[in-house]
Amino acid sequence: MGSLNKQHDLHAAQRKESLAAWLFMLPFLALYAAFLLFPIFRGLYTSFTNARLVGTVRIIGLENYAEMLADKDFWGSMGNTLYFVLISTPTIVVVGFVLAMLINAKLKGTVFLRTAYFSSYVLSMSVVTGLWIFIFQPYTGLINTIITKFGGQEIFWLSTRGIVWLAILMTTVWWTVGFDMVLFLAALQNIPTEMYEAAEIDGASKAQVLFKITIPMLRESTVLVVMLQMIASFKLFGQTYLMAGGGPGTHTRTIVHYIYESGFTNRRLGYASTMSIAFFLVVLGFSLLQRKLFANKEGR
Amino acid sequence: MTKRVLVLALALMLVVSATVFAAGTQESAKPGEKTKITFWSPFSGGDGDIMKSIVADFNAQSKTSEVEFLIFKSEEYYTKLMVSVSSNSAPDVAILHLSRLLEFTSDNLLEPLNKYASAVGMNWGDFSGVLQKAAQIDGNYYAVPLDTHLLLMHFNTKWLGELGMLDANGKPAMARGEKAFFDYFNAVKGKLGDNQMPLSGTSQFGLPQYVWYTLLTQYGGEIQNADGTKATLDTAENKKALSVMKQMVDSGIWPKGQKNGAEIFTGFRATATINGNWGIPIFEKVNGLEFISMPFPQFTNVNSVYADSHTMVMPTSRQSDAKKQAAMEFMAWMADNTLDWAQAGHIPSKTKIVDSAEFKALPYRSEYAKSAEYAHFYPRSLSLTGMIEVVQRELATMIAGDQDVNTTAANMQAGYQRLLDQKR
Repeated sequence: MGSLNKQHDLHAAQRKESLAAWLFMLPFLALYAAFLLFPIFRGLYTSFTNARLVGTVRIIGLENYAEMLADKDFWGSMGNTLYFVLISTPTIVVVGFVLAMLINAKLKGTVFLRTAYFSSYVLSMSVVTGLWIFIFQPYTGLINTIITKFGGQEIFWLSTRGIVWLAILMTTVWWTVGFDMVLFLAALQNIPTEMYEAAEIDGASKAQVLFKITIPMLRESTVLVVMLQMIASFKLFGQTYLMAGGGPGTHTRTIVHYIYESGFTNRRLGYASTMSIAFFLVVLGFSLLQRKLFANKEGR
Repeated sequence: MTKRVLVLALALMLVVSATVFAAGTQESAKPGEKTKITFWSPFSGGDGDIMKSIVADFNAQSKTSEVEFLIFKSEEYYTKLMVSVSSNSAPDVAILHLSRLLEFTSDNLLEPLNKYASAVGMNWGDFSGVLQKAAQIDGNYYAVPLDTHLLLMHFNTKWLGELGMLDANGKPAMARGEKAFFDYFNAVKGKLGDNQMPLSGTSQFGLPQYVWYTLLTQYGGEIQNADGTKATLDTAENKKALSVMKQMVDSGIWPKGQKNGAEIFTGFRATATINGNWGIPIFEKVNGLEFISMPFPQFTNVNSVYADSHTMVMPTSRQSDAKKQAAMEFMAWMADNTLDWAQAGHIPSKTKIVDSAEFKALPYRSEYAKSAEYAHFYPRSLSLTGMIEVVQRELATMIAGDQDVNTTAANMQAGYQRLLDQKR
């Protein structure tokens, strides 16, 4: 009997403990539910309605989804976004890795370099795009002034097909590469120095050290960096919107831009929500695919 | 046990404090305190400073109200305003371009002003005829106009004088008509060196659209049919307007790819510039720039120029009648004090102010104030914002040399018609 009572007391105590834990988590959960979960489900609901920015709302079933599948602007914008993901993710990851290696080499002035490479990351979108518009703009911009000084022709960086993507890519690398660099740097500094010492004793070449030790040891971090970078690239909007207006034509109009245009310029919140759901599924799909690819290689 | 109670109490406190902070507070004016009026605007350029000082003047003289003035970036202004009204956090008074009136009234986002206006003794007949008519819908007034603003052409008179391109009165020697326009600027172009251009003007966003609507209406076109159900953009008139624009670009008179046309003009790289009257305060501040602001050239026998009007409106809200009345008093005072606003280059909304000696004494204004008589506003449309987006994109693409005239006209037609169809 006594032991039963004791057990009962123990359960009661555990219940109280977990109640306290839940109460402590409640403020966070309340905010999480209010600002993350609720909007997601509300967005899902809105995608089945004809909601506009204001006015009455009517459920229209799958009409928005049918319209989306037949909307060539939707597919075009999605294609532009995917194109940017493909060109930007490898570029930024590789540049970030190279910069991290450079700083990790502990040469003179690396503290300055580390700060310099990372500092652009803290700037806001409007500052960054304002700066790079000045660099790229024809007639009075930095690059074109130099080119024309040496007798070259004006280059229309931000309004020529193809070239505009190069300009957007350069801006994005400059702006965000610091983040990837810091992640790589942290991982590099976690590699035990004994491994390098052993390699040195065994007479391994620099290339062997890089490909047999450094890169394999960074595998986990690389998976993370690639995933984060891919998602960041999917969200591209500000650079193309502010620097090129999505143009020429719709050449750089990304899916986020098109969702914004549908929701706020044309006030079709229902349709914009539908495309947001589709966009969410695409990003989720790519993230899962990437995880699967990396996991397979590791034989898990 | 006491410890557990303490833990629970702490946790509860956290929850309660979080909810209290989230709830916020509802403010109301106490007796003896000034009524606080919030006022939103999209004036992020030189006119923002001018408006700021006008509001400060109002606050200095008013014994009952205090206006809090906020400026938003023009690109995001209307989205913010619209969302604020639908979430019941709208300002008491807001600037609204007259062309957008129907988009706001159709969703009941604006208060009708008749009741409040008559209480402050406002005489709508004081406003110029065009504005008076445009500020009402179905007999209800929704907007108090402040100005008319329109597209102009500004000439560097010192430079053009040196090139011998001014007449005896010191004005550009350009006759009326399409041919005269091209003759004049081709002649200017022939006298310029490398890295100099006859005419500057931003190649994307608003500016090409203002030029386009000016030319479209001069060549007899319009964006839609009379009842606003069908887009009329795949027409001979629109193609003519577009091809004239394209000719301006391709001939090197108005070179493509300009990010900021005003900057090129004030940097002495262009002999003339296309800009609205709102560019004048910027040009006036440039050392050594001698310029004249003229009506936009007329390419045909039909007088027309793109124009719009800044008005003040009262977004729908659950505020008290007393507060709305106070907001109306502020709006009425503003409409009476637009002479200062004319510093920003705008043409005052009330005829007696336009006719005043003080206004006429301002430089350049008398040159272009008369073009307000044939100012052309966009017709009312529920999809005007979307139409502008489509038109701006297609024009920027054509100017960049990425698209021909026929494709541009067809895309404009399809884009605008799609928006019109969605609204019905």
